[in-house]
Amino acid sequence: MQTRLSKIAAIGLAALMAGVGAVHAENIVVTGVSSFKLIEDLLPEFEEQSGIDVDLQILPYPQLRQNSMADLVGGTANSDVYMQDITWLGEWATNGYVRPLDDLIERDSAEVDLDDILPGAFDSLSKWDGKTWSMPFGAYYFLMYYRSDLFDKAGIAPPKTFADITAAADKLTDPSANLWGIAMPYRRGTPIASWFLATYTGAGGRLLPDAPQDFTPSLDTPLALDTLTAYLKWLEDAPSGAIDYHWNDQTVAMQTGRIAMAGTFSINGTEFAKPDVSLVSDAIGYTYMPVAKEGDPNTIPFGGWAVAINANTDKVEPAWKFIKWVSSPDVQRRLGALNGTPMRSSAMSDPDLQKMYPWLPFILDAEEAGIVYPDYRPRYPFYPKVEEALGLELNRAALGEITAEEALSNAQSEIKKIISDAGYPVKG
Amino acid sequence: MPVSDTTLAGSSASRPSFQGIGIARATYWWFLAPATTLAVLLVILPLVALIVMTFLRWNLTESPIPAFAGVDNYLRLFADGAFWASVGRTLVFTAESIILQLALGIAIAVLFNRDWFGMGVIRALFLAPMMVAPIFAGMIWRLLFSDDFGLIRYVILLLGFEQAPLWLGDPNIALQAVIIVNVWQWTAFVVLFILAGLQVISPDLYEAATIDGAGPWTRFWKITIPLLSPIIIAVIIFRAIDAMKVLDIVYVLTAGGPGNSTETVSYRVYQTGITFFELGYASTMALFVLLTVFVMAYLLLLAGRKRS
Repeated sequence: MQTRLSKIAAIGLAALMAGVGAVHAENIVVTGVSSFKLIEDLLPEFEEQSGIDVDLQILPYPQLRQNSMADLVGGTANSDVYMQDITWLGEWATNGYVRPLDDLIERDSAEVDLDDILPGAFDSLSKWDGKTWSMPFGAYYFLMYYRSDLFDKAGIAPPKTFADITAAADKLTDPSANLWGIAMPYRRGTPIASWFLATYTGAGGRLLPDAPQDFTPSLDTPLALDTLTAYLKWLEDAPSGAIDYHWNDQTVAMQTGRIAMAGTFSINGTEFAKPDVSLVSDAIGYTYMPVAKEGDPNTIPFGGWAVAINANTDKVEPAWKFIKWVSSPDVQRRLGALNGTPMRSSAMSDPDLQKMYPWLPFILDAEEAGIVYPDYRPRYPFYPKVEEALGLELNRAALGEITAEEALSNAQSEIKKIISDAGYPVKG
Repeated sequence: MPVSDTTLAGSSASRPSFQGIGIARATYWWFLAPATTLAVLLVILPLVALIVMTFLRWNLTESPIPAFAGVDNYLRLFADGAFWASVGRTLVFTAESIILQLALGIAIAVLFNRDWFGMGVIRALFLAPMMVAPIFAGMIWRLLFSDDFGLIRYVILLLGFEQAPLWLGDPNIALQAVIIVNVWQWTAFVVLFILAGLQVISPDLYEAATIDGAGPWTRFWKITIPLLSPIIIAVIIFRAIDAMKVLDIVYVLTAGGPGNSTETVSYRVYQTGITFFELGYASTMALFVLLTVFVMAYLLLLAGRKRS
């Protein structure tokens, strides 16, 4: 009796193990930020198709940065796949922290279908020194969103220049109705630094115009001063709390109908257009970021996320399978419906998506015209320090502690020092 | 009455053999081993590593391999004006927080030191802020302080004021806002300690003083405060150590701003070490904080001993 039982138990255990083996032959750890959480619902589909078990780790941005650095620098593979912010590309590629993907892309070219990936997004997020280090996941384009209903009612044309924005903001501000012309982030650090640089880039400025030969920043130029003067002027027509605004506060202010204009990334524009979270979803207009004077060429600052394979992992094939899946046209189209930031032409051209997020064709045209600029936040390892120094000086100017000229002059010399201390040539 | 062998001093039978002493010593070390191992792993090794790192140039964004930097990090520290400004700000934060927490904590503890109905429940509820993780406390208060949706602004306007302060956007107020959150969260800790102290003060002392004609104020200053002083000093030490390290609520509430009005020394260490990955310089700053806290705690202990 006992022998029989043992045999049954052994057969059962073997069957169970075989079953487990068949369903989940491999497993990988994938780590990303909250925007990656959207794939959670689609993951079971991938796991069933591929037999690969995915352990998805979602972390806040600073923790992703810390964990990935500890893992990549330490030569370990606690996570096989990492989400890569656009500004980390240079650092990860130069130090070989992630695995180049060119051989895999070439092998599976039909499946990857590079021609369908938006060229600006692909070059900016994944290409460094002629190699491909990641695959784009989400493409964020910086636009000026505005309340089309308010603009129509007031008979104002979509703004093109700094002066247009200032005039429209003045005209539309009505404190008694708790309505304000514009709000940009002014909080110290990344919020003000990143949004100011996007505004500067949108107007044609380039923080490091001569890199990589010469890393002298351009904050001492008249355009930088014009941009900052306008950016600070807009504070007069912003809610009083805007001095402490993070971009999340700006998003909420737009969603709740308290501001008439918000320059921001398309990922946040998506939130303006969703009827379930926005009071103004049916009245969202969009245009380029303003230029200094009419006729100046437009630029769309670009940011976004890619997915990369940890150079230390030996699970390259399952990791690559996951990346191919998450960047596939089908998944990009389905995710695009949720976040409005697909990186494939096919998804951007999808009529359903274009109906939900009407600026998608506008972005496609900009991609075709080649006016998407990825380095508005330079993709070099020293960037976080640059952002901190710039963010502090700009915030002090917004507080009225120093003038716009002083802020730019201080930031210019601090950034020169930061870059030169990091070992890059600063000739100016 | 039977007497055990060990009590027979001088008796040759009671004297342990050399072998016995050896075993006793070995046992002694075995008992100490777990605590010693933990101390070495958790305190001494990290401390030694911290000190070693202060002599390295180790920037993870440049190279994963550290280079010997001599005393460069120390020289940089002494010349770093922003760092010293953050030290000054942290000292202001610490002093103000402790004074407010002590004043409120003692007052509330005296109030709670009565056998009123339901006091047990109130005391337990009063500990709630302490149980909230500081990062969440910061998030809750960020909403409360918000100029767009904040409850505090709403109440101030409801009271008839025309304007509410920009709690987190005004450099003259932001540090006070961070102090308010710290006081809200940790006053309960002071209450807990003081209440325990109050409950061991003999009522006879108050009775005798009352008979001698001492009023409530005199009894408070001449009996309560002197007898509580060892506890007050212990509380100051605990709170000072904690306040000097403040990072989480600053991180969530203000990120060091507006301007640099709330940039504390720990926030600066965090930025340098974890955001910029300059491990050598961040370690030097962290060592300075450690030494400051150590000296401060030692001086307070010394003051406590002198007083007692």
